[in-house]
Amino acid sequence: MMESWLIDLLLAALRAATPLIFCALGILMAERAGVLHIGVEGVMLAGALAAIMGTVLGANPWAGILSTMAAGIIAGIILAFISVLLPTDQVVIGIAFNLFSLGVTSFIFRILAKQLQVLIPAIPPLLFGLSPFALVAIVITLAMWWFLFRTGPGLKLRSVGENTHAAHASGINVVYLRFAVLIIASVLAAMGGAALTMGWVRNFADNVTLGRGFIALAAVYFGRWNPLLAMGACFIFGVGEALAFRGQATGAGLNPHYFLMVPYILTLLVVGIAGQARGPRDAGKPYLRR
Amino acid sequence: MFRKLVIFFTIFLGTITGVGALIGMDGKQAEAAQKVKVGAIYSVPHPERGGGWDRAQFAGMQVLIKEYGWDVSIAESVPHPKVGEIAAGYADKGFEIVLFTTSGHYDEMARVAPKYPKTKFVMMSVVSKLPEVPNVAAFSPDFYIYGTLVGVTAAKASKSGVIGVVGGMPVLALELMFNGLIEGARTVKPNVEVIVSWVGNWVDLAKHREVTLLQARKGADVFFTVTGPGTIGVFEAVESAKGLVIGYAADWYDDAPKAVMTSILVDVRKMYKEMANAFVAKTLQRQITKIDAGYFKLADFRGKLPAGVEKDIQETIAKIQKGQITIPVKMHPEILKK
Repeated sequence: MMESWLIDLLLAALRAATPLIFCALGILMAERAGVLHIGVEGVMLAGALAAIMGTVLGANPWAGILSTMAAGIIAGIILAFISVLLPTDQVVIGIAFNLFSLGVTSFIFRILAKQLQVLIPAIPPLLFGLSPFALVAIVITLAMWWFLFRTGPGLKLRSVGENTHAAHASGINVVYLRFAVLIIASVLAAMGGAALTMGWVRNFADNVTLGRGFIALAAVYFGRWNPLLAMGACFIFGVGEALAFRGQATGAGLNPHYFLMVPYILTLLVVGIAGQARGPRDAGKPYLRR
Repeated sequence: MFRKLVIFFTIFLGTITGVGALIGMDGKQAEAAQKVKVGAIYSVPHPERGGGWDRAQFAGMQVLIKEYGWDVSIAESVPHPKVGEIAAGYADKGFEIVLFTTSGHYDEMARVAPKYPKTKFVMMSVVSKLPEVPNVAAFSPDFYIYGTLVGVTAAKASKSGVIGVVGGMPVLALELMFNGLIEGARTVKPNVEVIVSWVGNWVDLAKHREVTLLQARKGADVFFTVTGPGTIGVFEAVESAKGLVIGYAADWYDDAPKAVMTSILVDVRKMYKEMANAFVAKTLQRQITKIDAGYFKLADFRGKLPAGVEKDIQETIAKIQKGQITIPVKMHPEILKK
């Protein structure tokens, strides 16, 4: 009995954590290259809508994945053009992009509401009841850790985030690298949106992400810009969310709001215990060639 | 020289467009002046596809537009503290009626109504009192009775004897409805178990899904939900768990054909017509009009239940509506867990 309860809890936690892991990886990669990815919430939202639109209009889940990637690439190009090429303040453009995305996705959803207000077919679980999105998220996390900390190109990427001008002096094209990284990071964030809508709830609603991109941002800071630790942080949040509802279901007689606070209290505790973290030194600083 | 020409033509075109728009607006305003102007306030986005009550009310508003030819303006996503501001804005612009779509708007309605005696402020949701001014009215559904009908339907349809109920937030309408549901279910199946869970918001699809899935794990096979856009998260979980769900207020079949067993409809068209007729006859006065069991009816089951069970449900509901079966009024504070 206890065993099945625990397995159920862990599966629920992983379901909640999967969209966060994709986004956290996107944020982490961008910040390792020196670009703050505050617009992750907006990119995630765009990806969430694109996934449902692609699946419904293309009548195929692969069409959903392709349109998610396309949405991620477009969002990445917009963000990279403004924050890397121009370059403007990365925090301001991130916030502006989030608001822009909220408006645009709501507008498109309004136009296509009748077609999109259906449950798309469920994607069958691959292994141990896990959705393909969860498995892909775990594999990408491991691959990113290996790439960042065990390969030459990974070292180059990290050096751009740590000391941009030194990296430039060593022959790295900072603008090109940041541009490319931001596109990849945005595709990952968009996939986070797809993991939410295609892989979990099978539908879209206005502002369906509800701040999950920002939770992923916190997970990256807690995870000290390390993919494995960031994934762990996302999982802890997922456990908190799963516990919140299970606590309510125990019939403890407490106001449900006490249980609903659990994930946030858990996150605060974990961040507090983790202490101060230092991110990539040049993250957030626009690169201006001297 | 070229720049000056461009600026001149831009100003020229802008002036012509502006004047033209004003002339056009005058024409439209003159046309609109003959119509009754109604302002409706929602706190959710996209009410046409929103939760059951919002969706049903949106259909009611179409009656005002299509059958009465009234000019209806809808304000969406209005946070509760801003409702008064929007209502006052409508009244300032000469709107004759301002509609409030949820009981959560009551305080703002009570605050603004005394300042605009020429405008009618009408609450189209459950209330137990009205402000002491003549320009207010309410059409208040009896959600306890509504809940009893849901309870009867769910208990008769359930094979496991466990009913899952998911609420967005514990507000008055839901408290009444869920209490009625428990009593209705127990009237026809005394040993039935009703699990009530609150998600803590109206919109998070994922959280609604997880809560519902948890109820399914505890044995629930028939579900009911009253929430906002999160409704679709509940439907997803019900479909995944191969359960059945009863739709609230509007017919939800098209949203999840595999999961929706039936819906218990509220005849909002009738409710809105009564409001409109009372306004036209100048009899819309300070009064709470009860929307009782006669306004509630079952949507088509579309073969989701064996014919015998369906017939049994319909007969029992008809008896409740005729007063042949009395369901006790009893509150269950434990479902609120305060």
